[in-house]
Amino acid sequence: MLSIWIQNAVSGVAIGLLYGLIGLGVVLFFQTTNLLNFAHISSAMLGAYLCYMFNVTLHLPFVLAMILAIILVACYGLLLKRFVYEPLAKREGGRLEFIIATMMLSVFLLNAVIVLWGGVPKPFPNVFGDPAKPLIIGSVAIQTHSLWVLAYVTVFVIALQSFFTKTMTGKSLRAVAQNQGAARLMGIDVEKMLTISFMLSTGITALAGILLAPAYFVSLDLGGGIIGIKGFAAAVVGRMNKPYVALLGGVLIGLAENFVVLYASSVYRDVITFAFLILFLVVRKKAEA
Amino acid sequence: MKKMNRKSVIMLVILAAFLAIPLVDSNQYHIYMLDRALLNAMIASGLVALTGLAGQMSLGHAAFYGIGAYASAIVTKTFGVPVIVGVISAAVLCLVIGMLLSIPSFKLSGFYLSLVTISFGNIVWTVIVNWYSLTGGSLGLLGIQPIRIAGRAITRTEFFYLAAAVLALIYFVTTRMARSYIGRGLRAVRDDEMAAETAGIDTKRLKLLVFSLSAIYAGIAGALYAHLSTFLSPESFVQAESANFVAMSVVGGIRHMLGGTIGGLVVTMIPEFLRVKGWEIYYLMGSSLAILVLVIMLPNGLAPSFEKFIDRLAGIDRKNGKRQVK
Amino acid sequence: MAILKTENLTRRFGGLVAVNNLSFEIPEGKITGLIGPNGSGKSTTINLISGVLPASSGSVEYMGKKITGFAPHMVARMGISRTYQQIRLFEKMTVLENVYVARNLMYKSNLADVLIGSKRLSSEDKANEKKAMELLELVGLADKADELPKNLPYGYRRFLEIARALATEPKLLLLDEPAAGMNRDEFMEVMDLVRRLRAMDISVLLVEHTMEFVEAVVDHVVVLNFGQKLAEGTFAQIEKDPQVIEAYLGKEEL
Repeated sequence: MLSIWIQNAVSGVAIGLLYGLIGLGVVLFFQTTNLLNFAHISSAMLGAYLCYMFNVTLHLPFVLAMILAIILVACYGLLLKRFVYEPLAKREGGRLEFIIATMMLSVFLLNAVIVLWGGVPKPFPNVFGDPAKPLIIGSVAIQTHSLWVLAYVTVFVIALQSFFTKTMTGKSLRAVAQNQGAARLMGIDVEKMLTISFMLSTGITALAGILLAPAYFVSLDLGGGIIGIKGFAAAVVGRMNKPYVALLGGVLIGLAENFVVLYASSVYRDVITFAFLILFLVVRKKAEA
Repeated sequence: MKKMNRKSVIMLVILAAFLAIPLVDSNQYHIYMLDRALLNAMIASGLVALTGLAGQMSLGHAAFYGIGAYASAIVTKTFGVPVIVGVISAAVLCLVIGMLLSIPSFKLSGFYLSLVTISFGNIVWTVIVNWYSLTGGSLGLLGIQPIRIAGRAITRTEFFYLAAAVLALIYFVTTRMARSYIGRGLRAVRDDEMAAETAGIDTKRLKLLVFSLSAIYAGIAGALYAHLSTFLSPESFVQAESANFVAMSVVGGIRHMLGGTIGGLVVTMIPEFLRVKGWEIYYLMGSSLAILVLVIMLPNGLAPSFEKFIDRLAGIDRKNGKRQVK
Repeated sequence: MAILKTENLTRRFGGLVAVNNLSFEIPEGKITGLIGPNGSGKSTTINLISGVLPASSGSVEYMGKKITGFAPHMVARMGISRTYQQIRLFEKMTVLENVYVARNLMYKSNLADVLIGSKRLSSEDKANEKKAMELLELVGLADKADELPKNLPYGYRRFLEIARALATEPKLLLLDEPAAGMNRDEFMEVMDLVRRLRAMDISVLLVEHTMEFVEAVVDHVVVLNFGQKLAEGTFAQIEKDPQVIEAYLGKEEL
């Protein structure tokens, strides 16, 4: 019994960290731009497919494939800012228009992926360990994938934190997130910071997508709605302005999901996300009353 | 005065031309798509009122479309009543649920409200799929009765005129409301809710009104859809459809009275035009790209440009700064 | 006779007590100033009276009736209007519409009247539109009726807000720093407008930082510090109060 608990807890935390990573990307983006990108999750899908292409189709070493994929998706973030955000801002399109534009973009990307790679899910190479050969500790079987995720996310968070506290760019980003007007007066190139925000949030999500692929396959599910909503739910737990709380929120969702499937039925797995959402939205408002 | 009359005449000519399409084009598939387009226009019109006029987000409106559809289907199948009773039940049910959905809007707005509406849409869809005994679940609901006249089922062309009449009624109601003190109150809620409250405007009551109204429009459209198609599947009411409806209202013109109609027609028909060319694989890509480009290039939608075009035809010269209908 | 009375009015934000057991009265038909250093709870008090913020404890009594906990639109309907420190206008509506919409609470017509276009509705519309124009004339905005607020000079945006506040026919008007951000001419006009309000039998609670304004206009002053009442009296009296001077020590305005 305990061993099942531990197994579920570990895999729940691992997947949850990835939801949280997506949520972290949403929070970072929202803090600087005050906007919601409904094509956010498409970056995860693109990251996974590109990594697959570099590694499996073009036979590049995995780490290189992963890095290339993330860089490419970050460049997509740049294009997103240039061709969607800027024209809308120029024409005084507001948040609603950006939401709709990014929604359509996500449909477009989904279909583009089908055209380029076909709609059949592809298995991810076993770089994170063979799911059929978990690590056995006593009576507990732990997927090595979970351990890799823990490792990657830990390293990433440390790197991110150093970036924000020790580099000029990182500090400038934080300034822009807190007060755009004041940052501009301080001489910070706000437009450049916004571009970096776009690239950062798409890049982070691409990483999450690559790490999620072993569990969800290299498939359209990655770009579909529900994982994206989980990312948004994690961001809401993080009150839209606390990136690391969003990470934690994702973990809570991942854990809750696993235990709901364990004790109730898998039908309700996704309902958990909505329950979280509504709960935190209501609680958030009560706390501000 | 004469110029305003000229504009009305031009609009009437365009309307007449549109209404004449089924008499000229006998392709049943085309007429079916027009029928669908008119139904979508009803839903989009509700979203124009909700989001453009009152500033409230709803990214889960397919839920009302579905509730209306299944309600009418189930009521007419179970009790053998005529379609009109089914449509009315659909409207009443959507009125109530619409009022319930307005409650989160009392405390939440923008992003947070959109998340609640997305959750609402997904929950309704999950219920539809899982309540097998009532809705047939993923297998769908068959054998819904079509609308009848003179003892026979109406043709798609006749449905076209019925739907056009319903849409006209919806346009009339929405426009009347938008131009009245109620419309002004809704716009105040949109522009600054707190200031509206302290100016004596009951913002809660207005939100109740506009949420229910937009829900009723979608519910009626859903009910009509059920009897047009005689078959319902949960696939028609997924999250992507909600996004589609909002896209229609934005592409058409979120702050324009004709936005719902133009958006419903254009967005429904775009994929059809792309499908014909023999580039089948790409038509979904193409249509989403087309809408994306439209939203970016014309954030205020097609309706304002359309109206400007008509003004020019009518010789009306508006100084810049003349605002849209709202 | 007091038109408004607060009794032990308190508002907490977590650990911070923004307004602390505040009891004061606003005499009817007079202009009362509410002053105090930054953060002393002036805006919060206005928010509490207008119903925008719920009170943590204590009460607000208007014309003998307890209105604590009333929704803001109910407070407005009872006859209390307000403006905002940062000016909150309906930016996508015209100048006229901004005032016109504040007449909504006067309507007896309902949705049915709207749908059938009844005579009652059209006569109410005409009357309310006329009243809105009159208010625009009062503040000197009649010629800009079809403009958008963003095209108005800053001072006139404030006047528009005041016109809107008057549209609900209040007996008590709460003005939150009406002179903030004004140039010299606009400043004189606002002062003049506030004096005219008293002549219209409207009681005023005026939150202001500019002492010149307060001194010239008010009949009665309440001084706040740290959410509590520090002193009360005529301007001449509180001006000499040592506690008031100490609270303002270092601030140039007194």
